Amino acid sequence: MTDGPILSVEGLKTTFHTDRETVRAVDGVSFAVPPGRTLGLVGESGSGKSVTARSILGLVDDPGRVDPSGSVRYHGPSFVRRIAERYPDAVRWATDETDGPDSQATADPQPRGDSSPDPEERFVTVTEVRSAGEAAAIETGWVDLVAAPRAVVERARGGEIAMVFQDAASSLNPVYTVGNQIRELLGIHRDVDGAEATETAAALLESVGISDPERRLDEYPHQFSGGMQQRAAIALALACDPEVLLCDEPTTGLDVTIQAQILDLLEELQRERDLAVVFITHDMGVVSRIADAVAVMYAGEVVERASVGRLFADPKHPYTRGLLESIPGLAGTADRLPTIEGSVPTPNEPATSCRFAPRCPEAMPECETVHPAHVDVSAPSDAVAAGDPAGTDEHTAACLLYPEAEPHRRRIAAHDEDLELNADGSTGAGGTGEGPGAADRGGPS
Amino acid sequence: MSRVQYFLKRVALSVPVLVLGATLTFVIFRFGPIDPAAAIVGEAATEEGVAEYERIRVELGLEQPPLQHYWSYMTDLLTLDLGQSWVLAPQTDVVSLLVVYAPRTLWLAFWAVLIPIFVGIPMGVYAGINSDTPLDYLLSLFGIVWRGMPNFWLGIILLAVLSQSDALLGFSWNDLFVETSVTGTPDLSRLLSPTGFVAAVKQVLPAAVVLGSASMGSELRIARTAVLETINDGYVEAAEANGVPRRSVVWKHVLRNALIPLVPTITNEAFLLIGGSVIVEVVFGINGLGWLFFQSVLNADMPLVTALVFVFILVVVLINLLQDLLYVLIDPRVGYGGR
Repeated sequence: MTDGPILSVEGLKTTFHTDRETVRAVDGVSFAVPPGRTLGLVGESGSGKSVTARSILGLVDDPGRVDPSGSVRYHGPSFVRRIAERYPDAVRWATDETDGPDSQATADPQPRGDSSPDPEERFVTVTEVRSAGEAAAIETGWVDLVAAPRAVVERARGGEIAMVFQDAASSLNPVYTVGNQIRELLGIHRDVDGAEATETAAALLESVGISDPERRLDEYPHQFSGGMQQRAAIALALACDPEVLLCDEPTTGLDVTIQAQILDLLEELQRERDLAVVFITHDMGVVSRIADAVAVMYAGEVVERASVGRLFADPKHPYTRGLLESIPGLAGTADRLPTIEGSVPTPNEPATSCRFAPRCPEAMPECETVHPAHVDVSAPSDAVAAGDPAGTDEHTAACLLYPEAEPHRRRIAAHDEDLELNADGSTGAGGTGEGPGAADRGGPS
Repeated sequence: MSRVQYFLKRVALSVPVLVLGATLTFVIFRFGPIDPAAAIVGEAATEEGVAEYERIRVELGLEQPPLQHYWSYMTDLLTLDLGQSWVLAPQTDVVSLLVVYAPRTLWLAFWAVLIPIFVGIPMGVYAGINSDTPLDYLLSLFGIVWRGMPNFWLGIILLAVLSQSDALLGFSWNDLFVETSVTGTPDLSRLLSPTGFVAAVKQVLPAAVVLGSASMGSELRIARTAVLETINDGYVEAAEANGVPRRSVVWKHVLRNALIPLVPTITNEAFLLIGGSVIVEVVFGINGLGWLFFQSVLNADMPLVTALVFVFILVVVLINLLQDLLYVLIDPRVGYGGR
């Protein structure tokens, strides 16, 4: 279980219903993060990055709705165990039948093999059970935070999955001292209060690089500088003792030196705590620094997925190429930086075409009628070139240009067929035969 | 410690306001359209009347040169020697009148402030948290209607309904809990005994509801807006994302921030109570400061009128200071950067 993801998102769909239209802000996004790894979620403003993060924690406000067809699977074993104990009726036993019936008999009040009449309500899935003495313990499994009731999602917030927001100044409550806010979270998630909480809070502030932490605890957010506020916001998230940290553009709006310090800090904290990080940003430079794997989002969809080395060495999707070409310094010595003309469209129709087609320099007539699916675009030779230490050698792109080896007709047909196969909306399966959750699987940390 | 400095600065700033207010009452008294002494004597043009008139002018200081009069007037006021009443209660010190009349008004104002705070604000907060629900619409409509009803009209209607409560409501207001009448001055001498307390509250309750009605409507609406604004702030989402339970998100994070715009609303409404108490005390026959002011104006008791105006100025300045104090206590950012 060390090599499985801690958080996987499959076919996540979030829609905003208004009187005039239905905006599909997130339309079938899939990715996965293993512990100790960083996934960079990149895209322009309006591509649905932040909504994705909010959907994971169930923070989407009306009129937004997370479609029940998608799933957000949290794999933290202790959390899965706790929830399975608390909601025994909601457990779906997907353990391998060949294991023999004895191994899970004691802990299994329900018939195995997912034969329940209401699979919709079974938000806890158990895939592996280890018998330890008399009682069987759940070894692997996941809790689906989309299907789970609100109370379960609220239990996952903070202690399992915490979030750092873009604007630190507004994510700290102005009328309470920083110490008060950290102690509140310590009381909720670690059950410590009083002098011990103050001590822990000071240690947390110190660990995020704030000097003189005892004095700083008694100060209010407005007495902190911008970089300090972001450090304090990170300390707040760490006070929850999370397994997964969602960072929603945490360095946007900070100047470059502070930005570098915050990134260093995040990397260090990640190493210390084996945190899985989902790092949302529009800044390709930041991604190349901090991420292990990257998912490129466009208009609510992931269009390309690869390890960071691969993506920068050999971008496949025309959108990714455009993004990379428009980074100063990477683009060579051209007088004018190349740009991608136009802006991200509002995805208010079901995807029946490639949403990037109107801006794509390589668009062909089929792009308007066929919705591209993810296909494997990794060339075996590239894996070596990219020097990918984690061996996350999967590289997929959702574009009709691929698979490159196939002739035009069969290529289009492949995407068309995929579309039909995945009528439920998960665009991820692609040509690899593996689930999209496997994208980042593999590297033991 | 800039919060303390800020507050001390506000206290210091209120001194010139007081001096200016006192000066204004002096100007009205001495140079206003009404000759105070003539108003006291009345229209008798007899010889005695003229002599009396001259005597009063001397006693009121009107025969002194203006600057000298101003100086003695101001030192008297600022040492809280408010002079005497001449017509309404001849030869009685204004201070001793205040001791009798002010507690009744304070008692009335206390409930008129408290009822909106404890009824209007919770309703507004509830409406804000559950915005766009039928109950929210109902509460908001209630707030607008309640805000729109004028004091004098509401007072008369309430008076009419309560005095015929037997026929209209099916119970007798006068006999409810303890025996009181709908109008009249509350008896504040027995506040410490339970029945005395209930009687005193019940006696001012209709007047307090009328007096606080406008405040209640606006506090409901401001509370709703403030909660709606706060609940969409980043730190509320951040607190939720970090697993703070809903209950403490609302009670700890939303409420205190929503209070910041509510403080000036509450204190501004408290100013209105001063004007409102004149009407309401007259309608409900409560012998308080408002009634005293009304009567002293009707009887042209100029020394008493100016003394009461100064008292009202003092009250307004004090409420302002209270508002600043509340600001300092609620919002740590007060005084920060604004030097």
